[in-house]
Amino acid sequence: MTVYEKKVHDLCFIIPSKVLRHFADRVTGQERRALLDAIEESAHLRGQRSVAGIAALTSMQTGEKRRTVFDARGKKTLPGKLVRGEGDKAVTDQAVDQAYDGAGATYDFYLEVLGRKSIDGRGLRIDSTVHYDRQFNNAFWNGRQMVYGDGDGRLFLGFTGALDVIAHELTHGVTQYSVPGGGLVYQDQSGALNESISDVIGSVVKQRTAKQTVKDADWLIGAGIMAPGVGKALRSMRDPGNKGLTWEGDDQPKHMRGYVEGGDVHTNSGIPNHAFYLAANALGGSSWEKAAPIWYRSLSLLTPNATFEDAKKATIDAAGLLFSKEEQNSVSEAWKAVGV
Amino acid sequence: MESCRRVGGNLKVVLRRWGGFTGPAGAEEYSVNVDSLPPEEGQKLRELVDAAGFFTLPPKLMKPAPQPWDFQHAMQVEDEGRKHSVQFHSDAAPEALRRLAEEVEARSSRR
Repeated sequence: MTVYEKKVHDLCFIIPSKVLRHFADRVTGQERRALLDAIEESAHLRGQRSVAGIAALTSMQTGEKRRTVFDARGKKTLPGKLVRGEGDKAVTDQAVDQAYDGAGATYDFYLEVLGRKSIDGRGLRIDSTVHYDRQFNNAFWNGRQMVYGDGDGRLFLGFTGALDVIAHELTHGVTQYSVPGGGLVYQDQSGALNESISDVIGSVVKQRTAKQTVKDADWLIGAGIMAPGVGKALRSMRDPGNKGLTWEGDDQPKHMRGYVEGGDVHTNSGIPNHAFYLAANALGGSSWEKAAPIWYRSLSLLTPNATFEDAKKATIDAAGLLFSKEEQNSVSEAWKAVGV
Repeated sequence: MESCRRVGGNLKVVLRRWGGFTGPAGAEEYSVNVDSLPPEEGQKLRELVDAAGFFTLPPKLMKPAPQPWDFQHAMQVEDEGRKHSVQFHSDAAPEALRRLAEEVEARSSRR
C-alpha cells in the first residue's frame, strides 16, 4: 500500500462513500484506483457489520479467480449475507449458483480470450448479490459489485438465469477500469457505447459457452428473462427494434437514421450493437476470435465522452493493431452500414 | 384550518425510476395520492413537497458525468391545478427532493 493509498484507506472510515466517489470521479490513474478501492472496502465493511459469519476481508485484489455471492434476502442493503465463496460447493438456491457460474464463465472468457484478470485487470474479487429488493425488475453494476433482482414474475423473471445479463453487468466494471478517465459517461453516445460494449461481451460470452459460430448465435440479449407472453428477449443485435424477435416495447434503432437525440442509452445502443453484429459476421468464425478482441482493445483508445465516430475509429485502429488491413476494412464497412 | 385544508387538496405524486440492465423497460413506478393517506402521513408528504420547493425546481437535475449505477428518476407533482415534472439523478438532487422520493416510494405500491 502506497502512502497515498494508506491515506485514502484511513479516510474511508470517516468520509461517506458518496464523497469519496465524488473525488474519484474527478481524478485518474492511481488516485482514482485508490479511491475506488477505498469506497469498495468501506462498503463491504459497512455491510459486514450486519452480517455474521463472513471471514475477515483483506484485499479485494486477489490476483486469481475469486467469486463471492451474497443474498440480500429481499432487502436493499448491500452486500447481504455471504452464501457462497470461491470453491464452495453448489447450494440449493438456483440464483446463487447461477450468479456464481455466470461470473465464472465471464471471468474465464476475459482471462482465456482477452488475457485480462478480472474486472480491474488485477484480479479484483467478483462480488454478486442476488434476491435484491422485492420484485425488483432489474440487474445492475453499482461501481463495485453486481446486483440481481428476482423480477416481479409479471414482466421479468429472475435475472441470473441469463448468462449474457451477468457478463453484461460485469463488463460495466471492465469498461469503468478500461477506458482512460474512468469509463464511458453514461449519457448520450458515450452512454450508448457503454451499454453496447456490455451487450457485445454479454452475447459473446453466451456464444462461447454454447460453442456457437456467428451464424449459429441468436444474437438476443436477455433471452428468457421476460415472463411468458411479455416477450422473448429484451434486445436483438441482429435486428434491433424487431419486436417480433424481442418484445413490444423494443424501440432500438439499428441505423443512424433512427438515432434518438437525447434518447436513452438503452435505445441508441442498438446502433453500435448492430455494427458489432455486422462486423462479427464479416469477420466470420466465432465472435470471440476476432470481433470481440477488436472491440475490447478499442476501449483503451476511447475517452469518457466518446462518440460513435470515435468508436468507429477506435475499433478500426484496434483491428489494425491486432490483425490486418482486411479486418480493418470489415470493421469500417460495418460502421458504415449503420450510418456511422 | 389552513393546514387541515392543505393535507388533502388533491396532491398527487408520481415517481418513475429506471436504469441498470433493463433501462426504461424495467422502470419502477410509484404513485401516491395524499387523499388516500392518513392525515399525518399526508401532511408529511406535503411538507416535503414544500421543503423541496418542488414547483420552483428546474426540469432537469442531472449529474454532469453519470455512470451505469446512476439510475434516472422522473417525478411529477400535481397540486390544486398546478403540475410540474423534474427529472434527476439522486446525487444531483437536493436532500429534500431525495427525501420526498424515498417517502413516495415508502407510501405507495410499486407498479
